[in-house]
Amino acid sequence: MKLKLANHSHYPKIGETDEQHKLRRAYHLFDRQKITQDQVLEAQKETIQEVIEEQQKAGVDIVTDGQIRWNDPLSHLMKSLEGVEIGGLLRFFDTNFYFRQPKIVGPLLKKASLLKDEVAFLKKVSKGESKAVLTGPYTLALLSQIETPAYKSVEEVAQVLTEILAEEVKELAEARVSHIQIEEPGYALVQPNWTWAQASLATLAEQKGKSKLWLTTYFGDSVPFYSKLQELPVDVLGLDATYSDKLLGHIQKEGSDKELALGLLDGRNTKLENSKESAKALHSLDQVLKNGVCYVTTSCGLEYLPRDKAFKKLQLLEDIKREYQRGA
Amino acid sequence: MRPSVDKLKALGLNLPIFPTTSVGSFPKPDYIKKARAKREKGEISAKDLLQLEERATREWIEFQEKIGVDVLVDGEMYRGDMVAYFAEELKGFSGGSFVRSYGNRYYRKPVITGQVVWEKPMTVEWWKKAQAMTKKPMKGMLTGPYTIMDWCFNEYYKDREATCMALAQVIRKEVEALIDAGAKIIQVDEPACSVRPSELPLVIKSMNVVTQGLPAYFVTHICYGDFGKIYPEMTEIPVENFDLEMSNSENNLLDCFRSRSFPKDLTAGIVDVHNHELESQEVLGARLRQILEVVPAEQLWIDPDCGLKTRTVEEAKQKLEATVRAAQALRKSYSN
Repeated sequence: MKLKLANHSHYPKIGETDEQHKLRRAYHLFDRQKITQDQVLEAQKETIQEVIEEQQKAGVDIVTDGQIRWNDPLSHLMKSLEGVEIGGLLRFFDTNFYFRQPKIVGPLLKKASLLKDEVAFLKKVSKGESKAVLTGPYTLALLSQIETPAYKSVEEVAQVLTEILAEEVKELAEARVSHIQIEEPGYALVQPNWTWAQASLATLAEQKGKSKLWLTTYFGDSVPFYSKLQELPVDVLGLDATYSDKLLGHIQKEGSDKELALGLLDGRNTKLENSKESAKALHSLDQVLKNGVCYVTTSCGLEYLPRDKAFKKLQLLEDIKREYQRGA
Repeated sequence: MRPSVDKLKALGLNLPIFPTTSVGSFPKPDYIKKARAKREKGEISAKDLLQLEERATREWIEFQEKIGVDVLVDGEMYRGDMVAYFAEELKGFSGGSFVRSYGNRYYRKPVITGQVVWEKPMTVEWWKKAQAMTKKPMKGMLTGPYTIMDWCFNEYYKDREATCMALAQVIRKEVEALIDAGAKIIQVDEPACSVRPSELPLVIKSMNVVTQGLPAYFVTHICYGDFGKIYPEMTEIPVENFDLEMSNSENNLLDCFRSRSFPKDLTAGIVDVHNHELESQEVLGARLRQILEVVPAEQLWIDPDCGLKTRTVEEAKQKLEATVRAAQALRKSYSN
């Protein structure tokens, strides 16, 4: 099978050097009204360029903008919607990272494009294939607090968000981004109604144009609902292979009708995996994935790691690819 | 009388109703921040920095006394992050690099690279210094084994349980050293405890190693988690007092306590520590009245939601003072 290396989604915003602290400094100064919004934007752009360069230097085939402008996976999208107030801090799944919980206080309405500018910049500064990342409607709804009689359930909120995100997918496709990743870590937390999930992703898929649509889960074992994921109308399934040592065996047994993006490297621990073992694990899937592309990535976004370790994990992807090809 | 009150009295502590305290950290004044930066560059000596840290500690203790806090903290002027500090003091860790926790906030996440070993007391000298500055009780402040495990990268132990239980042994040694030094109230923070509900038994088991059979009144601080998933089982963590952030979620936690009454002492956070805005006395009074509809008065302690180090010195002082004023007003209304 053909391997392609992909950055999962987010990437550390700062590193150890003074230069790598520029964005943190910019936010700090903006908070104290010492610099303007435009200056913050400039610092964001410079950081995005740097993280894209790092990904390319590491040998990654599909880059992201590192979600450098995002504070967290929820509030970045939800803050731009009418009917939402951004509330207190809440832990993001079982990480030591916190998001501001959106409160749904009225009917949801998209006021403006959510990622258009970000993706335009990503396209401008990256070479080759790139990927835009959207938190999925189910996870957004599941982790929000519903405080309005306008919606009676998580599913109702998720449905409206599906329609909003479908418009966004359309814009991303029109911007000709090669890959659009819908992230649904919420699937592993509380499984959705799968009939609804199919319809939701079908709505998003209708707008994807020539882009490849990814559905990515993480922070949980996807073996119990692997067969359900296979039925979803997406091009690529992204799976976290670090939560269960049974996943690869399960794929070997069940096969895959879709291209897979395998999160082989732990995006939450600094320990570097053995590239030979990872390559061997990939070879175990040769027969079931023989005709397709297999995307190799980390289990989740890399912002849970320090910048230097995140870079090493990306470099390790290249090592795995080399080992894999050597053993072919 | 509640067993926890008996325990406090047996320890010689006679606290008023609605005791006030703080979660632990206070913001470092500018002169400490500058001194720490200079120390990192080797521009000042460790002794110079220590003197300034002692000065800042004294200032915070004087402030707490001035506004009438009942159970004091040293403010952690000498600590950076609540996990990194212990990682620096214990053997088996290597220094970490920056990882973001939220917004524009970063911390250095340590890496466990070998067997963790307690070589010497880590907080006792500071506790002694701080206690010597006041006649009021000074809390011993530690981070719990589960949280240290969860908030470090692990490149040594085979799994999370092995890491956590190894850390429990070393934290117990520190607790014993604090008790030997005279500490009577010891807070062992476990903010990560709701992270994986399936691991709550591990939190309980490891805290049992830390506190079992020891003569102190134990508090644990837990914050920013999904309490609905671990309540009421979380109250089996072997401590007398749970210090919980309540205002961040606008007292939503009370829904849990309505379903099953809170069986231990509760230190309720009543001011948001992640917001510049200072809550009015009316707001704080309303929050407290709401809590008292569910939690018996004799079980209630009062403090801010979490460590105040995220605020400026001025904001932190205002928030702490507002907390104490609200508690005092409540105390007055009860005595009437």
